[in-house]
Amino acid sequence: MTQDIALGPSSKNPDEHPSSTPVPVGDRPHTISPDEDLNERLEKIWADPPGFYGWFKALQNDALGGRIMSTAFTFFLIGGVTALLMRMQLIRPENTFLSPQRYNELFTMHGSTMMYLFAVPMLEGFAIFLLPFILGNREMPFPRLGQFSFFTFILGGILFYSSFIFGAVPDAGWFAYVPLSGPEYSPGLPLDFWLLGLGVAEIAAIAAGAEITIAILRMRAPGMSLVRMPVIAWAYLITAVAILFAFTTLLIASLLLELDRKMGTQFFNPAAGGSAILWQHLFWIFGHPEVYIQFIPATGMISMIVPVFARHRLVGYSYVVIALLATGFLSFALWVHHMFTAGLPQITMSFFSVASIMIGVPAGIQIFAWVTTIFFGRPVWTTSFYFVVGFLVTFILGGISGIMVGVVPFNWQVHDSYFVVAHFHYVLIGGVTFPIFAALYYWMPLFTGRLLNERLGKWNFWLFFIGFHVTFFPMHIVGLLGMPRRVYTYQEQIGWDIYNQISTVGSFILAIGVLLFVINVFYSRQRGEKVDSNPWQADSLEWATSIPAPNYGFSELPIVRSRHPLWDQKDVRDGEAPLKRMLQALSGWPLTWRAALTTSALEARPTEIFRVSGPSIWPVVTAVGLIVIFAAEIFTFRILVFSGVIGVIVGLVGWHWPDHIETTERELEFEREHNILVYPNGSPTISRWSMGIIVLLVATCTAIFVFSYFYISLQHTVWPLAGIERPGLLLPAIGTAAVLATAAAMYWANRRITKGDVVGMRIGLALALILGAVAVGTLIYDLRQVNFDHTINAYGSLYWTLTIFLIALLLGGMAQILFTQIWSWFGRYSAREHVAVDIGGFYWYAMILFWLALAGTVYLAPYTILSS
Amino acid sequence: MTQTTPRREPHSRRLWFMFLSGPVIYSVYFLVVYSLGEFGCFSGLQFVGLFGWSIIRVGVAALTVVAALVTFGVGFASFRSWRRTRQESKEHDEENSQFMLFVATGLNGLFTVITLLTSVPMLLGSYCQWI
Amino acid sequence: MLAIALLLAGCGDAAYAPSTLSPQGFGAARIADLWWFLLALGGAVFIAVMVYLAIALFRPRKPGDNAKNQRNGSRVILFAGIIAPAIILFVVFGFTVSTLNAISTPSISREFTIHVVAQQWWWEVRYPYQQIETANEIHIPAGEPVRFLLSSEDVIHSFWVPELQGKLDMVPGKTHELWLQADQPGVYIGQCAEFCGIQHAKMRFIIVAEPPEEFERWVAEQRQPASEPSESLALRGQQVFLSSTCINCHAVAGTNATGDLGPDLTHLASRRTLAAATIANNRGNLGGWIADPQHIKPGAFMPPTPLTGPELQALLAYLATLK
Repeated sequence: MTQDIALGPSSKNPDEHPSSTPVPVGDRPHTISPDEDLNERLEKIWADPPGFYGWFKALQNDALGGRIMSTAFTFFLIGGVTALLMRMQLIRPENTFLSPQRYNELFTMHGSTMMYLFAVPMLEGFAIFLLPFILGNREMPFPRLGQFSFFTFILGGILFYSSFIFGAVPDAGWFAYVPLSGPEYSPGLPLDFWLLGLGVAEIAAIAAGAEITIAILRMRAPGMSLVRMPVIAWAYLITAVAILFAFTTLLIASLLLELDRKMGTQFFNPAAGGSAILWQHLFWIFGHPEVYIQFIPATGMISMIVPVFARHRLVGYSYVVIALLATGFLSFALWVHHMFTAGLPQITMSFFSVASIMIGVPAGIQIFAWVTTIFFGRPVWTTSFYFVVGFLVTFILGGISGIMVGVVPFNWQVHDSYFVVAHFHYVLIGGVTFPIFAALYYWMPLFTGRLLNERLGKWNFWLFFIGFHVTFFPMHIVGLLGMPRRVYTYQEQIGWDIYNQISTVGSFILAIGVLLFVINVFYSRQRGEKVDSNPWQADSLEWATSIPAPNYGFSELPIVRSRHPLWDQKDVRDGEAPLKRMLQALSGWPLTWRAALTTSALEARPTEIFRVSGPSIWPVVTAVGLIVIFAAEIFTFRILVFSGVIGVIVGLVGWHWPDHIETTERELEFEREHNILVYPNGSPTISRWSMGIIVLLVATCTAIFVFSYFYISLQHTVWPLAGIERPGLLLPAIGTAAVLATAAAMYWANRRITKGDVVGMRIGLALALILGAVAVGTLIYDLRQVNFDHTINAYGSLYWTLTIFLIALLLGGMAQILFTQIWSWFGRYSAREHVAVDIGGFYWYAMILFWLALAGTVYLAPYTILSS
Repeated sequence: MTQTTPRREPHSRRLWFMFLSGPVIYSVYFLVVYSLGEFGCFSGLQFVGLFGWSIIRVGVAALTVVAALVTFGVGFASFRSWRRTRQESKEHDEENSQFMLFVATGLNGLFTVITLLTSVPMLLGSYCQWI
Repeated sequence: MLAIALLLAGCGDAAYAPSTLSPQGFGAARIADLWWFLLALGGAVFIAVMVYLAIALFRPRKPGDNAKNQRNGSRVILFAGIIAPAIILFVVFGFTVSTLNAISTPSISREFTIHVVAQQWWWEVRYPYQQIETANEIHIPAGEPVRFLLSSEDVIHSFWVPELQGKLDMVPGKTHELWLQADQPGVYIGQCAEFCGIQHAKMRFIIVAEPPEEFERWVAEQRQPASEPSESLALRGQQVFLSSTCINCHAVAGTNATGDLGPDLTHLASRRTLAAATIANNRGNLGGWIADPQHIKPGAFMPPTPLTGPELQALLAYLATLK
């Protein structure tokens, strides 16, 4: 790394200290205090507890991020082995290396592993590790949620793979189309392992998504306004929001299918009024964004790495942000392009075809931004950069074949053929795995303090690159020659042999490439070149701290005045004087609790200093409880399911039990002195945002339920089915009034506590609890008096499921009120700190909308749908 | 407490609106138009006429015009604000608002084009048919 | 490279592949045209971007000024990254819509419908107007569009004859319509394209396109009930057949074998293949298939039939009469 950097100050950004030279290598990072004693005290507050028990309680972002990444990479290796076995089977026609059953199991496991257990968790692991450093803050907003996410992910993955032990390996593909995956055609446990094992992993993904969203919006370094945010932060923001929508949809879809399998509902059973196509819609509403959930952060990584090794600022930053946003939104308008052969109306397909083709525009923007940056820069040929170039070549091919399969008539020919297999491996390996390798070579020093070996790295790259193209390029051709996907064998004399043989050879070259990477990791952990700061002369804040990254991140938080702070700012601590004074004071105080900073969303002005929660065993208890529920449900062992529910409840209560710190004069003094709010009992901003995300998740569930209801009902000319009476309207009218009154009571309780009136608040909460119970009562009474059950047909299934979901929403809100009431007797709330009441009210205002949507659908829709 | 709430950025609400209007309006438009196509074809709406065109076509056309006009309008407004801020801030660092207005212009423009394209298949002869 | 490989694959081919690139009907032909257009366009785009990338990576360097680079670079992105792709993609979309329109409205000369019902893992074929029932082998008159009504008895399958037309899923509870035409007489391989369970790989069929008069002859033959065997061996075989478990699943018109879980065997001997176009229909294969179907198609629903050697020989003789 000796090339000098021809950067030149960005002309529009004349910093107080314009500088074309980066932070010199080896220089002590500014953000680490020279005061060793202070650093030690910070380390003591932020470090995870030691020992075996401490390992479970650990919640530091670096520890969790590292664990999630290594677990995900292990799943990647396992998924790779399944692929090699399949390639062995296909090396010649009519091969008997694998039985058809085994082959079907392997491609199911391969797809599911790579999609659910490798790519998404890997990228989330990166986010959890890197984001606090890149954003210049000390932690993620919910360390315990990260901890929960790790344990649900790894336990879910283990549960999924334990299907091998029970000889019940899922065999219906990673997409699990009904009716094949339904109770009739897949009896027994395999599909339950698929639905429930992966269900846990999906919950892990949603948890991480929530955390990433809030971190990027509200926990950036002071001064990192949107325009100065590194591209990777934009990418992760868009991805995280997409995760919230997409994975929630999948979770609901899985729930409906599991109900069909275990409870006898009829959502997907055409014989009882259900719809087989509905599953495809729900699955792909998740499944297509899923691809972009992997691709968008990968491009974010590329946008970080390209400028560093091109030694030039990213050209067209604003265009890249436009591209990322457009991609994120368009990715939700593509799902039907997986269903072009499902017999939908042409007009529907054409709408989706437009979006599928036009997503080429944002892709074009990004590609030209990267290549143009390289054009103006001076490439430094590190292994990481090799992988970037490999990504560009491969992904462009995959993008072009992607436009092709977005063309409806052409899609009719190649859909479910090897052409599509080739296409999405070009996109997912080319567009996601190449960037992940580039990122691993790039950020490894931050993780371990040592560089990966470059010589091994180059071998790694070339074998991976050549192996990849040898494996997957011939698949385009064999697909055009008519070879369908997911076949365990093919005929002699059909002309597909040679292409399959080439692919198999290529897959082993590729595997050797991956093996070299694993060797490189282990080798470099022992012998790798040690670095202590910014080995690549990079521009972003994660390189502003010491290496390997300390637990507290930065002793003194940086102030961002440029998009490339380490290139433009001589000292990243410099800035407006009051701000600098505040951050300096913050480095030496408080030294008894973990303090982090929230900042405003647009301009990143500091808004609050708050306490990040510390190590706890309860998130693990919750995760284990959850896994017990799901594992026991696979075997329909309901007593154990029930005890799992108890475990989750106990875990959640323990997790959120407020460990109260009295706000002392010291905090108030800091507030006055530095003009910033100090909350030693958690940030109200973050609490509100997290409630916002919960509401968003519930809204997504509601929308999916309503969509399913109308999708099924509009297929019928008579609704309700089978002569069932239309529902009565008196009870729902009472319920509506009760819900409105509950929200009003919550509003009143919040008003009282804002004025410091604790008694008034308690009365309001009690009223809300009673009124909520009335609303629940109307629904339960209604279910008791209807003369059909959920198994009778799709109408009954929808009626019961939507109503029970609504009851669950109401009960959730009531539980929150109940705990707020209990904690209020511990004297937790005051005019200053009462965020629990505040967000409880927010939930109930949103509840009005959920109620109207769900109860409106259940009770009113049968009146509006034409009966002819 | 000397300070109750942090200072709000100038016009931040308007900025956010312009920033997100293109994709959000497109998403809503897309969902409605998709539902009209899919559910309309399910329930035989293509046989219900209005002004000599089926109700599906009329609906898609009307929604397209409205959505495209709104996105284009917001895009144009963002563009003008962007030009103004750019002239004002020639001397400084690229301002946040300037950046957001630029992104807003790009997104609204892009989604106007996509919205218009989305309506093209409506001209298909047999739009409710498959293959 | 791709083009060369494809040309090689398309031409001198000892093995016969059901290639989408050697279209034999109007649907596949239009789609193949679309493919060559997309390939040419995509290839040109790929080469152009690769040339730019190569220049970017290997050009001699001069120190540049960031602000100027940003300005020029933005222009590159605007023209090469937004406007050019938008125009190209607009053209692609235009071609999409016109092809879609062309394929979906065939010129119909006469109403002719075939109903195909997919089941795990074979195809039941019915000609409602001709009152014919057969399996896994679909005869059509060459040179005219044929209307297929596709449905499924159990899970989702997909009907795909690469040389003739794009695929269409067969969804339980729904009936989908597909138009298909074979320009020339010939035998075309079809297969299930949607994963449908353990034997998805061996769920194939053939389409036999014949000149109209030959097709009419085939129809006339298929309308006949099974002829009574005259030979003694075949007669014994008929008894074996009617007293075995075969009749639980299979039907032979004119006998009391009326099972409907498996393919109709009334004209079994006239078919070219067995086990959903998995093996050729000859005496040896048929014997092997009856004795141990699980060896040929593990997981298929047909159980092995325990017969002595002479019984099997008699049965085969009988089945050979079902022309």
